[in-house]
Amino acid sequence: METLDADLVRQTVSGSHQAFDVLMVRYQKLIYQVAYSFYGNTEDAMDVCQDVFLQAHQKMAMLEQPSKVKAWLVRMTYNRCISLKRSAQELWSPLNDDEFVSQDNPQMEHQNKTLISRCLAVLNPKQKLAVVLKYLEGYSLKELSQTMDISEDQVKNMLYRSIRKMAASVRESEEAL
Amino acid sequence: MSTCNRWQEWLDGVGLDQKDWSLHLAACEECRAHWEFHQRLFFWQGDPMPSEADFTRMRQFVVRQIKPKARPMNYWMVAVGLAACLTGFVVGSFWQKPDKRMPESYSDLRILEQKEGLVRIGFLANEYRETTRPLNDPHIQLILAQSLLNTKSMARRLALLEETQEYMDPEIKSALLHVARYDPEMVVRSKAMDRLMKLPRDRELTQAFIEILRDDTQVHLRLKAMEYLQNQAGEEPLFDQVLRDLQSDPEPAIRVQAQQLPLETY
Repeated sequence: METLDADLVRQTVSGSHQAFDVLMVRYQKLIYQVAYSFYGNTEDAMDVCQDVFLQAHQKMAMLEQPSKVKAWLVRMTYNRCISLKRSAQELWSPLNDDEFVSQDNPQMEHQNKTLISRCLAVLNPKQKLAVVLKYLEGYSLKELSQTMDISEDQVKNMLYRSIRKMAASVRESEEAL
Repeated sequence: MSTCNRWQEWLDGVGLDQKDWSLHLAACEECRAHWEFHQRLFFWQGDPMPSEADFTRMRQFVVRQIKPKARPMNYWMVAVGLAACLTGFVVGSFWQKPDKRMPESYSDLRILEQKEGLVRIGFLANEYRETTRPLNDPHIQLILAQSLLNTKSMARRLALLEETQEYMDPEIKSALLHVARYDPEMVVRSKAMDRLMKLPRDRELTQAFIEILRDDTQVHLRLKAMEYLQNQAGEEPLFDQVLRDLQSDPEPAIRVQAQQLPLETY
């Protein structure tokens, strides 16, 4: 049976590196995905993972609700990504028309993935986080609301605006070709 | 500008049945575009993940950094660990800033390869660059020193402290002294202190450790500095002056330790 997050947090605070390692294994990919959505490259995203886990270990004793360690780690990752750069606008280069491909390109599937990943660049940091958690990590609206500390209505509005922005960006780029 | 709100209603799960929604989609180009993009997002799997080996290396690195914390602590350290502490202001009195004449600043140094007295490094200087030079080349030392100061990622700064154990010239020592006192992350300051403690003692080192003892916000770093300095009690007037002040320090652990060290009269 899988050990509960709260138990792992308590064991970590009591000095168990093994428990902390289990927590890292459990959430490393989630943290990587969030960091990658901000940086767009593996090396920086892995550096952020390391930073976040080191910080988390330092501050874990101060975590008031150990069962919410997942949301805590996501927020810490988000804050770390923001603080490492002066402005979120610097995180990714602007969209480049060369990234958008015509339908008959044999590498379409791969490039469609790239297209969506690149579209994240038109979103502000909070919208980016919401889209990654919703569509890559399968968060429910309730989980998103708890993680981002906003109401479910605000989450829905944020997703709605994000999709509209991304869809418009794709449309404009495809029309420009 | 959006003119149709049916898509938002659908997203909210309000009112629309499947048939109604399909009919609307066929007629409304705007909602169709949003719907299609929404579908694409559901099939989006993100970019490829790093390998399991990469994740394992990352975790091993983290565990290596946190392991010293596992050492048994004395009762007073535990008590102090619970107490809040806030002291000190940064005084940049003798740190020499990087040479202003240098056209660029360097960061994020990585040692890529090292053999036969040569080292190949990668680093950022406006853009990513690589160079291969002799181990003792001053340029290498300068890039390393600046990387210790300029690299934004805490993990990379820690890795630099580990990877560059064998590099030690005055430039790097100055960088380490600065990192030990002013790095924003406690774990990095602690690591830099560990490296400095292995060097032969001199006036500059003593002064840096006195500053840490007096000004650092972390009690256990102050205690580490006190441990390093303790056999200079009675020999170093500046340390003795600080020791006198510490006898009324708000932190009990610092007070107790300071009271146990001998004071000399000059």
